[in-house]
Amino acid sequence: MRRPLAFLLGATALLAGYRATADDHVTLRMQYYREPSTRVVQPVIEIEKDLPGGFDVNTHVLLDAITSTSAASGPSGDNIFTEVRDEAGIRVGKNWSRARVTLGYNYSAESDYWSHVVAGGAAFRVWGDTGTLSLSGGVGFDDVGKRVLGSAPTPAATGPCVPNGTRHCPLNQQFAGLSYSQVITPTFVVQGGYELALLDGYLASPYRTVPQQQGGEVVPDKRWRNAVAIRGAYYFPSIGTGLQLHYRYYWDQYYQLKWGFVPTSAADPLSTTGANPWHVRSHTVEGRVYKTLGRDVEVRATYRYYSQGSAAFWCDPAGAAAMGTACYPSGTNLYTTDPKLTPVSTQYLEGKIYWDATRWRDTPIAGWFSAGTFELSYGYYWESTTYVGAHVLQAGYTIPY
Amino acid sequence: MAFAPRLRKCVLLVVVGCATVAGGCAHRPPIEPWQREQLAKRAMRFDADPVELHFRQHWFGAREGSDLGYGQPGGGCGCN
Repeated sequence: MRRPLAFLLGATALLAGYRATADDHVTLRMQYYREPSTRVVQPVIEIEKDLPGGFDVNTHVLLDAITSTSAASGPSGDNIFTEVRDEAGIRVGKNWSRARVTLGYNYSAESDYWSHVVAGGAAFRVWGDTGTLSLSGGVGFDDVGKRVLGSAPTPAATGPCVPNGTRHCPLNQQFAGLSYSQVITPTFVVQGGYELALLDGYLASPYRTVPQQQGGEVVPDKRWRNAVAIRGAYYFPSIGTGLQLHYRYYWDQYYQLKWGFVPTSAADPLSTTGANPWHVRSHTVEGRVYKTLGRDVEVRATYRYYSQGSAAFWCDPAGAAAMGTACYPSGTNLYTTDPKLTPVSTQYLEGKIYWDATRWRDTPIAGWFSAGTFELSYGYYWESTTYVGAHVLQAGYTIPY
Repeated sequence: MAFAPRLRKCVLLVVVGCATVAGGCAHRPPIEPWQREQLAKRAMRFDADPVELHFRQHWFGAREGSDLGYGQPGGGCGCN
């Protein structure tokens, strides 16, 4: 906890003394997530500051207090424990008349998981500043450990590296993205893009058990994730209402790096299906409605629907039982009980209100906050998996300086 | 042998695409600077709240088998 706070104080000191512009702001947020087996409380602070020479800097620090009884969180049985995740990030940007370049670093630490991500991006405004072409990319270096508590099982050493009480395993990722947004009319904007990530390393959970096996789960050590997304936004000035519609299609597969980039094939030694062992496909649709109410208030309603198929190597216990067979017979290389790799559908419904506190301008003490914006939201997340569902509450305040 | 028709089709698509883009760029931009008022509204921006987006990405990544599509993937464990 000390390291992110020191980072924040240092960044704040660095920012002091420079000229303020309209982009300079501080955001404080509290985010709360609660489902039957897990509760997350997450305070966040974000600071953005314009610097001389066309530079700007953005930094954030958050703490994740995760209280969980889920098997994925560690001990089996009824033990409840709270774990804290610290995260800090900084991003520096440089602006030219029609271009922007950014470089950022993000650090996240738990008692059994550490992550470093370095990312860069470039954006170019074209066609009279109505189109924006954006490129991004980066690398991540994660380190996966395991806290051995109580009777938590230790997975069999079937892979190149399996975490145990004393050993950490690497998970590296490389990612890149390309997107283009275009203003079609003064009230209509569209955006489309493609992103990919190559993950290489320990991709399982060291805590998750598979009943049919005498150890933890084993999943492929490489994953090539892909997503294409399109978005549209339309505004009706006469009624102060805006609409957004988002769609994303996701697919993934195993890959090999051998004399270049080679997608998986039936020759893949890890494959149990004769083809791509991942083969997760999903569709995500999200709609948002924004409505201005008077001078200071705006409300937003969000609905998101998500549907995915299972990973190819996942075995359905109910289906296998109905056929009189057992899941993962001996000789199987890959096995999991991860709910995320089963057929999943989720829905999320949320309401949010933004309030500009200008009415407080002449009020003693409260007037100090009158230049900022308060926001409050509540949402419910329906899950088809054993996680059931979650309440999500978020509150925040942003003030320019 | 089936490759040749497919190649011709690809070349044709590229030519048509380039011609469309070039033709489009020859015209004036669809809006003028004084018509941009609505574009600054929260409803017209896809990145209006990056902190909220970061939080959502983390929890969706912990509960769903997909990721990406919303900008830089986040670091840290999503395994709880």
